[in-house]
Amino acid sequence: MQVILLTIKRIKKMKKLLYIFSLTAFVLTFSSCSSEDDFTESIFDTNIPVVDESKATAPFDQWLNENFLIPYNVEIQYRFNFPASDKNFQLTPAEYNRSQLLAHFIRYLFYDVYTKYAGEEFMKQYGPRMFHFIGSTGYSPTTGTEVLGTAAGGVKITLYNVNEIKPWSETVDYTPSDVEVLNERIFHTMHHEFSHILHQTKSYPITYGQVTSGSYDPIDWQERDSVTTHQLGYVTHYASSANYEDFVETLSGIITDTDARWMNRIINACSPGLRQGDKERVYDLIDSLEVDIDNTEAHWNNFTLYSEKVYNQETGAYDESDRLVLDVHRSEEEVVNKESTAYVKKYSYTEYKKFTSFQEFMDWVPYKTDEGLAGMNAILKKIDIATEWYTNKWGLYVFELRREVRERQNNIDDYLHSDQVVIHNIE
Amino acid sequence: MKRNNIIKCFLAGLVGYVVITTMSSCRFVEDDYFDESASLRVERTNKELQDILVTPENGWIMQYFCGVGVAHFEGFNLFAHFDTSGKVTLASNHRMLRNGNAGQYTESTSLYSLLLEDGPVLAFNTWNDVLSPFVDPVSPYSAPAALYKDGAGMQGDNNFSIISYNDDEIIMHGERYKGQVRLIKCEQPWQDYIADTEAMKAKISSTSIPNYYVITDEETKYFLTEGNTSKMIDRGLVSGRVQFSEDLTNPVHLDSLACVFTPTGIRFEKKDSVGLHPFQEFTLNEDETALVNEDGTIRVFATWDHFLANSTEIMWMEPESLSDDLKALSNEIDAALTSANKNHSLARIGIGRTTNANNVTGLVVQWYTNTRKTSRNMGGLELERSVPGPAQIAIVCEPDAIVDNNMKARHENVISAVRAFGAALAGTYDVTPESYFVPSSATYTSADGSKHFTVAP
Repeated sequence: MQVILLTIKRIKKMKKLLYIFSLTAFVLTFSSCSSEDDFTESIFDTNIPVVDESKATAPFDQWLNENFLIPYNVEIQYRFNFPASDKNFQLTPAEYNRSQLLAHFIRYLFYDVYTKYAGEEFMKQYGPRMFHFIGSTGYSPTTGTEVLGTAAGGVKITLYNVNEIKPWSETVDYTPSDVEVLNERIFHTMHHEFSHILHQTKSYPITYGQVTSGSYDPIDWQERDSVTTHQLGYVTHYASSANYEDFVETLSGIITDTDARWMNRIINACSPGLRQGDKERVYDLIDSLEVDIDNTEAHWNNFTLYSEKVYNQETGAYDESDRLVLDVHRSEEEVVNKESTAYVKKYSYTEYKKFTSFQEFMDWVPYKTDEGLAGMNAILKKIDIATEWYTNKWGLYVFELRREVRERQNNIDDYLHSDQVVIHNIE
Repeated sequence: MKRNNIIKCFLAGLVGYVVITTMSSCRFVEDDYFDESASLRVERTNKELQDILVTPENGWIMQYFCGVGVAHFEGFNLFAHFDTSGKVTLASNHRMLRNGNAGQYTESTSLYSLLLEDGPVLAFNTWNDVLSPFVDPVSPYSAPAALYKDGAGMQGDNNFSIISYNDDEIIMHGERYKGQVRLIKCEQPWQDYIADTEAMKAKISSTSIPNYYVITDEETKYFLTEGNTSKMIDRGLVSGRVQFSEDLTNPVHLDSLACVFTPTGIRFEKKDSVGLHPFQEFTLNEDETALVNEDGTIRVFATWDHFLANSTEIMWMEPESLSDDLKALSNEIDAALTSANKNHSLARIGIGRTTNANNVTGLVVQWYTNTRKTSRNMGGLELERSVPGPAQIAIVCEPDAIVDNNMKARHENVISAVRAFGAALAGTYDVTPESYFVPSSATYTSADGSKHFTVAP
């Protein structure tokens, strides 16, 4: 027992030694390479100018430095960065002059807007660190969908489709429809992706996803048409793919969507019926969106709802559906007929009711108590949650951003022809 | 005791380890396999490449290929001029140019970069009207007239890994689709290169003779270019794509190859071989009888003999080329025609298909129907033609060979004279064409040299 104890003691002593020895060896081994020299000046030339003046792109690069890199620490990759691109898609580089124009638009319609309302530090702190411009869309032939933008980890926003921007020239005029295209293809995406960055930083209420929790469809969302999408309580098709997409689509829709788009959305969503109290809220929303509800030239004061029938490929007859479809959303889709001999229209439409004012429409819309009725009620709820989150978490009023963006877009031609916009042609 | 020894041994070993690691860890063993690190080498390579790229006064010819697997598209000749400011001007007259410029010489300036990736990469990284249509994911079968997104496009690249380079040639492949692209120093103005290339293309390709012999001393294979109208691919070598085949009439497909035209011939995207004979580039030989590969072991020329044997296009016999017997028989046809109708006389004799009703393929006799020789008619006698061997054509005229309605309406003496001519024509001929690539005149000479004639389109 003693021997054993002694042995144990010795072993313990040895162990202790081993620990000390091992520790010494560890330190020696790992410290033996440490430099004995004091750090001196960098061996690299740290005085290299950020912009290489010998390059054809120097003037634009300088402008980017002054407008993005220095104030916001943002890099704009206008050159196609193949290794950093999404290999699921075949993509083209962005055209250089259009990239310059887009960079100006991003400054004017995005950074300056947020900076004006959220202060200098906001975009420095939360803005993306990098934009990557891609010329084409990310087109998927299997689903027929196009990716217009992506946000990665709150750091990088990839903007596709740059080559469809109306090019700049000394005489270019951006018409309202040009602005709409710009919004639809670029800025809706910008605000969408930036909203992702924001909610990845400060999460939004879980209640948002519960409003229409049963009808998100991440696989076949693109199969839904506008009428179904709106009547299910989503602002866009893509919003119905997942609740976080829904959230950012709602926010970017408020900031960038046209009056006409919002009014079509509202008419579609309201036409099956409204819940008690929602009519007033619809008017409040229209008021917040600053839509000129009395504009007699506008489509929302002269439109028709159609009842819809759907072609039955088994019987060859058109079956009644319970949908009312807004004139502009009637589908031209075709399907193979019963005999498989020809294509026929998938839908047939019959005029249901014509409205000469939005007021007339709202007076016609019935109140319903059906619990399954989502539509406008869901959209209103989601707008409330999203805008409240924007205000509470970020101190921003989304409708104020909308007003600012619209004002800037209305003055876009003045901006394009001001000395703030210089496009450097390399031809 | 035993245990203590074990521990002592262990400690001794540990001391040894510490001494070795402590003393050796700072000893940098510099094996001079390379003078510099990999990244520095790539950087130095890029500097060299940069200098090489901007040096040629006339820039570079860029032989551009796209797509993977089967050659869906021809190779394209582009031209590139790089400058030190990062600009590149590309030019071409290819068929995919947009905005109404398809087939028109067009220049476009954009940006390029030499990137440091795993190796040097030449990136054309802003849109260029000349290059980017190959990369754009729109259907190549409706472009450039209509641009429908299809997600794939022509599967071209705009980033290229450099495989090899020297002052005169840079070989690269696309980073994504691996299409081979070759830059060659251009020694002449681009428009001149295009003109020379177009002239060569016209000389060696024809939609009438779409197939080519590929001959070595040991074997014969074929390049077939039958075309595909549904995919708007031209018939003939002009399409810039061939099917490399074992057989002519029953094509056993070996491979599909894409090529570009050069001022001296054609060059395929990738190396291939016939047996042990490798090929990539073919040059038209001095006597213009064949395109020959780099080491001269493969000869390529059109299957003009099959064309002559099978074509329905009428090739007319040149009267002065007829051997005496044929000349005498043609005179008999002339005499019989005039005898039957004093206004009629022989205009010419050819081989092909008559154009009147109930037409036949074979001997075509055309005669004047008035003395002023301003009006003509034709009739035909059926002949069979075949290719018994390369550059040989056999003609068979059966005694009861049919004649067309126009010939039937002639006097029997005329028909007899025509049959006599057909019978005399029968035999096997060695044939020499004026051109080995496009329809041209050809001289037929019988094996014993007794009969001969020359036909021309």
